[in-house]
Amino acid sequence: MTTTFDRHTWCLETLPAFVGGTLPPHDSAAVLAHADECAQCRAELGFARRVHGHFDREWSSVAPLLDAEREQAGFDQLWSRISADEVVSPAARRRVPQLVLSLTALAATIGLGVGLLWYQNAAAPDYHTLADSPPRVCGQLRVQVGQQRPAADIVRLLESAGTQVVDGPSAEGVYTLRAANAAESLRRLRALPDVRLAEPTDC
Amino acid sequence: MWNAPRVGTKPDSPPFDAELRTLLRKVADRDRTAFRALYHALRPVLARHLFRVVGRADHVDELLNDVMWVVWQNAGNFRGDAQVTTWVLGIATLKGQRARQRWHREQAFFDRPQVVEVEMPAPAETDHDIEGGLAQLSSEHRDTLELTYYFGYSCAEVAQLTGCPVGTVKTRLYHARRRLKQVLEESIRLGEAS
Repeated sequence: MTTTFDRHTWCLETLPAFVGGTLPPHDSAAVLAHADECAQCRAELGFARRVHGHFDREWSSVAPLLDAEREQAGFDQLWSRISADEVVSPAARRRVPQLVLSLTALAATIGLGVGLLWYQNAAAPDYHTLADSPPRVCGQLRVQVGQQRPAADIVRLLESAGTQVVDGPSAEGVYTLRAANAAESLRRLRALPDVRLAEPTDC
Repeated sequence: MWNAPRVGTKPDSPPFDAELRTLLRKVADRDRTAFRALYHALRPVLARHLFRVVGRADHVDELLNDVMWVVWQNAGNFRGDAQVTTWVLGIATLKGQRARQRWHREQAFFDRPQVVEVEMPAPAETDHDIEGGLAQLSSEHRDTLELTYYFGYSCAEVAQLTGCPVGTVKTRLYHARRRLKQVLEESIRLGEAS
């Protein structure tokens, strides 16, 4: 037997498919019937229709560009360009060994320079690691939690450090977090025993 | 997948990331048939993205071909640590921004109006609140909303399409909806205050 609660939850979860037009007719009718008597689902339906309407307008604006003949003409033009580019002239072929030689010489020079710098730095007494510098924080953090825990526990753990989960977990179990005070949250996250890795995202 | 029939103005369903990767690998081996399939699969999403970036339709075809030319040249360099569409749209964004800057310079120099050759439909009334809210979302969050609310996919299907776990899709959907609703509520409050 389907309870009222079940129907309500089902309706909320089904609304995107309903406005997306992928729901069978009898399910669509059930969504409309429930939304008629449920204020929350009615509001959600209004929201879903607005979001769908926005994307529909966006796609309509480029509909003329998606014509099949236009696409074929575009591809033919591109393929002609690719074919023309791939006809390598004999002069260009003769230039290749010279280019390879120049690049090899350049790589050797850079390698020598890097090696010299490394040797000088290794001998220097006041060596600083990158870890001594303050972390570059741009508002988002990436965190990996070591132990196997339920997702809800992990989210609670991460939020206890003043963060909000905005993405994840990835296949590797990495979460992306947003923090009002990223530097402070980073410090608190790194102090948590279960946190295996906590790093600011690239700026 | 990319040969699904068109319904109304709705374009073909977006292709699975795994299928795009397979095509891209073949393109790296200079497979013309695979490149044609990739071109067909990416064209709708690229056309719309470029139109969004440059704001004019007359050069979308040309820019789209510039992007796909880069894809042909660099298919072998795709490292696979992002979705194929993310990689391609990144190239498109760069191409579109450069073109826009060039047009602005040319327009300023010659002081002439832009010419729009393609006949486009009159723009429908825009829902500025939704548009503003979506602009504040990350591309992953926006794409998740689009795949569920426009294409009507379930979370499991979106996970398959984007090549990420179902849990991630649910998290993205939750935060995207929450942020969007916050923006809409703020807009209503501001409207009432004024």
